[in-house]
Amino acid sequence: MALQTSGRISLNQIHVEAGGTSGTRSSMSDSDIRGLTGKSAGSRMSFSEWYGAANEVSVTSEATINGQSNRKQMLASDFVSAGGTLVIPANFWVWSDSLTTAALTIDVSCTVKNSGKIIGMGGGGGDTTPAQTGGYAIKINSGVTGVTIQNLSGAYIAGGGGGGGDQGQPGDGGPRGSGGGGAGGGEGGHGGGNAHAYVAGGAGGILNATGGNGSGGAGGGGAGGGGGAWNHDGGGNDIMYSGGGGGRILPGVGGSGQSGGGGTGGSAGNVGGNYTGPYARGGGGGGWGANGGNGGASGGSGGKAIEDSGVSYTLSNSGTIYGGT
Amino acid sequence: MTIQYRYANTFYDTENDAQDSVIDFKARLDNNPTDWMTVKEIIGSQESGWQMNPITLTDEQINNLDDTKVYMAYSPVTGENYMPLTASEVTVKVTEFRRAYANWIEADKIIKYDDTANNDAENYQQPLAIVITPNQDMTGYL
Repeated sequence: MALQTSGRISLNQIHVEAGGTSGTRSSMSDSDIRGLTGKSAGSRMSFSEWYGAANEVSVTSEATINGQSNRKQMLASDFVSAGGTLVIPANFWVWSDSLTTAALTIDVSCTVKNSGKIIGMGGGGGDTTPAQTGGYAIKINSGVTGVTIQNLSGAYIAGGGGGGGDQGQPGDGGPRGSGGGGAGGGEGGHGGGNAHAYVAGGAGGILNATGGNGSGGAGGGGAGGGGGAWNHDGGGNDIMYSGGGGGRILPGVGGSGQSGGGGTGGSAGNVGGNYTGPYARGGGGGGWGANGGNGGASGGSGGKAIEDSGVSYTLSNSGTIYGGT
Repeated sequence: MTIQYRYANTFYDTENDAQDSVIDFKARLDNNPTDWMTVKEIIGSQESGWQMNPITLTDEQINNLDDTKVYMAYSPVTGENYMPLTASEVTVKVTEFRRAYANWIEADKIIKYDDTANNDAENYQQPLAIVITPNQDMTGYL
């Protein structure tokens, strides 16, 4: 909370605003105190210069993507010190293109005021490897206490969707129906397999865009989860189809499965569609924070909105959260 | 060339094994809500924020919620996340989330995969996926 804008102001109040502990030693020349007003060391200072000062940082954008202001894989301590407040503006994206790195990693005691969109990476659709689990939107590192997250009106915190399961063909293999990518840019599963050449799955969508269609005309790219696909060997013609990619639109609508083939991609808050016959095919990718649909094999799990790493934190939500907290 | 049976994302070599697994799965749907949801007790208010602790409730605790407490519940299947909820509201979510889970996992279907006989040109090497209705009536969970 910002310091008062008039009246008596004490060094202790300034010290606490800068993240210090009340009643402990401090001086006006301390770097964290000077940092509240941008004063340089050795410069003249007046207490009134700290009126309204706040240990609060509003994130600014790296190069825009698809016209969207954004930051990829933020580390809180790169922006605020202990006790500070990190502000994510409206319509600002904090995102990840890694299933193992959250969009926002909190490694310092702080408050996050989110009016934007914090999104985890979508899991890839299954092919000859299993469907992937979606990534975290926010991760609080182990041992970090004093974290408060405010998800404000109109804001989103969304774990990545799980990838759709592949056809999971038992027996001696052959062409494999592949799963769609999960919401959050999950790549569609590859087509082909065994003696058949691979064809790439649909690419994950960029910010505020749908994912790409699967190759061979299969698996429409999803706004949420990409549609699952199937493939076949058309009497020796080796026509291979692949899964559609998951999109990065909030809330987003799932992509369609290939006609006669894969499951439908999940919309936000919905699991990807299953596909069970008459032939084994791939499942659709999951919507935000949701599981991918099952083909013959299981779809991937949805990613958490907030991974707490075993610590307590404070959460208020007036926006939308998809995934575990 | 094989025939296999899938139920609840597990493969079996015989239909009897798959049918037996339905009985076990039905019992879990009746008693084990942690299979399809996560519930935490939370403390606080919307104004001051909710204290989220990392401890999740057990099956027994979810089946015997405390009317004086407030909870968060989410479905790992659909990603839906709700808070704050009263005990009775969580109980409603137990059924809602179970329905989503049962549909996702296709609790009412054993799938027989058969790649021994499918050699038509259009679906060459694609295993047939034949739906078998379990002997246990699972439709009430969907």
